[in-house]
Amino acid sequence: MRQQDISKFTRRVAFGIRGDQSLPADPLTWAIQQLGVEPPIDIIEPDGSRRSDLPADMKLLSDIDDVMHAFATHQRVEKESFEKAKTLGPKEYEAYREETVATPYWRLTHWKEVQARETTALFGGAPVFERFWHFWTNHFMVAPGNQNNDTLIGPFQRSLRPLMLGNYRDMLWHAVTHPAMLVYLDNNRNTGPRSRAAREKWTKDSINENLGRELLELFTLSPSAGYTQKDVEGTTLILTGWRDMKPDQWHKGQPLGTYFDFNHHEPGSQEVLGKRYTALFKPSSKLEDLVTDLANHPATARHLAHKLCVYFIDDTPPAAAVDKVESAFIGSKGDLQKVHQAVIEAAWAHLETTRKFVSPETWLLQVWTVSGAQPPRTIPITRSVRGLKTPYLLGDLGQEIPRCPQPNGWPIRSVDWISKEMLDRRLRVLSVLGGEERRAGRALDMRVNVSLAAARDLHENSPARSVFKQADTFNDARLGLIAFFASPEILWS
Amino acid sequence: MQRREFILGAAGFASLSLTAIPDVWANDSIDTPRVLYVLLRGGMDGLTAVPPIGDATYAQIRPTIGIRQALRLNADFGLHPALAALHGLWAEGQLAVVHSTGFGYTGRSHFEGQDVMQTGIMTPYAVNSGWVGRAMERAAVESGVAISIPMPLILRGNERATTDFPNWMPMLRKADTDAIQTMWADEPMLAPYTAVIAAANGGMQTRGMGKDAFEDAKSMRGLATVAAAQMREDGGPRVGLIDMRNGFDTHASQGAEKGGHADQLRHLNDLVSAFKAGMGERWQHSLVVTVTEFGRTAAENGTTGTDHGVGTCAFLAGGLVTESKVYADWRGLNKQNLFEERDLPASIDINAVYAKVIERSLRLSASQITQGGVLDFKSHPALKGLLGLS
Repeated sequence: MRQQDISKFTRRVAFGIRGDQSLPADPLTWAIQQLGVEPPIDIIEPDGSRRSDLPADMKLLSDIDDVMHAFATHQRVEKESFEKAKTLGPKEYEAYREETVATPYWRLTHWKEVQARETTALFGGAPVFERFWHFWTNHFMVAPGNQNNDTLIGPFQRSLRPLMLGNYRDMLWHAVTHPAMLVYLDNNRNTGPRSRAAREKWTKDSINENLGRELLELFTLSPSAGYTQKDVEGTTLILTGWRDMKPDQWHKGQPLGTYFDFNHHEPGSQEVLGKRYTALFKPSSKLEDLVTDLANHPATARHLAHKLCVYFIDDTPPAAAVDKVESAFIGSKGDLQKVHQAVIEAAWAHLETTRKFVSPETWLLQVWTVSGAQPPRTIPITRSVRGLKTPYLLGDLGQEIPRCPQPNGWPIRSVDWISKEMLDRRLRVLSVLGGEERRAGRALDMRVNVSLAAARDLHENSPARSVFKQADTFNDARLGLIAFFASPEILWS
Repeated sequence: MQRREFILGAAGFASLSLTAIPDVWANDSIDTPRVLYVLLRGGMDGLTAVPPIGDATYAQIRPTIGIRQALRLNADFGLHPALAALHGLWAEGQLAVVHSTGFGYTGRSHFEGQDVMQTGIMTPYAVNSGWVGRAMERAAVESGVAISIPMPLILRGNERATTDFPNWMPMLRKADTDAIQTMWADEPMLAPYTAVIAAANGGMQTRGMGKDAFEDAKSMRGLATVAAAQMREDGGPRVGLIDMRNGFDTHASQGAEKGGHADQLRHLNDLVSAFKAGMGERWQHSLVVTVTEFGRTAAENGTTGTDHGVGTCAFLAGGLVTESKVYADWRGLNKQNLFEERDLPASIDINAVYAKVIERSLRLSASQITQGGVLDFKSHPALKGLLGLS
């Protein structure tokens, strides 16, 4: 196997290897051994330690009680700020909103999660695991924009990590019943028309199909399975009453997080894909049974195998690759470690005949990884703090994580990441990143890494190699960055 | 010129036939229509933008945020004072307003509503193409430009539309663009972009834009200038798009003549006047069209704002407008006439308005629009004469 191909493989299943480091001697083992352990995630330094110059409250919340308290507080301050509107003038009101809502919840909440996501990908020691985690956070997309859900997103996404060591059914159950998902897709308002709450007119809410539809379409079967609107309706009714529980005065003592509210649940039995879901003693078990059936449905295995192969291997993946991942899924009953291993093996087996134009985030992580450059450290404590900020940098490239516009996640096909504006920005951002390294006194390291990576990774007679031969790409660091990271070899991993 | 090279270069990869190109260039003359669509995200309050000054209920249900100093349109309707440039167009016969209009979607979710307003399909998340993109595809329009970084959903479904957005980052040098020209030459999916990228760089802005200059370029006035600079060119994009993000969602303290909602309208006003200035003579054959996901509650809420509603108004401004007029099927603001007793109803299907825009600007017939899968709509007698169409 040529060095260039091993390098391509490390970009395919991770973010590449720094220029001055040697490529793994046994790439398959290198990748597969990263699947079995869940690395801790935090805002970390290159040596893996937690960044020490963060404000005291800049902690990642994981405990569900803390998360639901933060969610409730955010909703409360939003509401309070609306009340303040009555007493403040427009300018004062704007300043008040900025301080109480925009800075803490729209800016810092997302900043700390993105910073953790990117620094852990770079310095956490298991980039292959991170690449698969990025896949799952995209598969189970929860984005800001609904019911002040900002504080729920990071904790939800991070809670998927341990489940990557288990089976798909458990991850699916967790994702579908997590308060972040129930809020994001409005299932906390999904109320059965024959439920007590509807009959006694406690609420004007009724059926909301958002989660029911996505459960079938995105998370399991996919439309190619041929389910019908009736199946969506059955699934939606089974989901009625599943809602979030946050601290409030009416539910003292109730565990926070996920709550099954029988008073909003549609009683009786419902039908999905020709099977009746009935619960004699425990109505919530209807959803448990449905999720189990959907997770084990052959169409789910096919859909996930195809999606994983599109994400990691090629927009039109080889049939043999999809078949391999599908059999691994079915054979192991959805054991995700086995499924991930099959993806890695298929990526390896079909490496030379396939290629992916990766998302801006993945590409940026490749740039940082291979060049040794580091992500910006600016903490956007107020609106006027100057300096590069990672979420906005991603936004400049066309992927402002976590602000994904639609529940079907960021595009996974190459063609969606190729536009004039997005290509131009990938080129221009390289000089910005180079400037950051220069200011940080790391310019020489970066130039060495890029030169070594070019010698290691670019094909012998490729046009990119010729740019390196003809120009002084070592002293013209900007040209070196462009000639390497915008070369077809690197853009198409 | 850069666009021409781009399109010719793109012929290799996009699914367009080479023979289609010369016809389109030949067809582009000074009177070929240009349409700039403006997405007003967050839900524009039609009762603030175009207050129904002739409806006695208006002042009662909006004691704090009602507009008292409206610019007069006719006995029934006025314009928000921040929309002075639009009022100027009204005087010149170049402003049409459709009121109490909206999408058939009534779920009041931004999230779904912004999907629906772009796909034109009343079921959220049903398709991955936009109604403008499908119309361009159906009419074989060769180019459109979204003033945006990613391609917005509303223009998807047409592979020739491109993107452009002000960039604060330092421009590329010739050595940089030469390098990509060398490297991407044999890459069919990348090569078409090297010439446009080279053309967009190599200017004076080698040190990057300062914060203020970038803010200026990103303002609605700045974006409209960028759009017009391309669309006024011979062979330039016939369709443009500007995305105003989320400023219209004023649940609290929305203000009246001044305030949060007024600021957004002022941006829209700036956008229209900058686009008009930028288009020069082509303005006479141009149109600016607004698209918002829903209107807001008819009555003000307890926090001197408005909540998510249904019906709103839409603006059509430009030389393609044949007569300044408010097109409406007005049912009054009394509670029993509101949708679910709270919202201005969408008594005119807004898709019927957009179908007329497509018919006039892209020369598709109503049946080509519906049967061609572009847009379904319910026509309304009140729209007779809009854009000079029956």
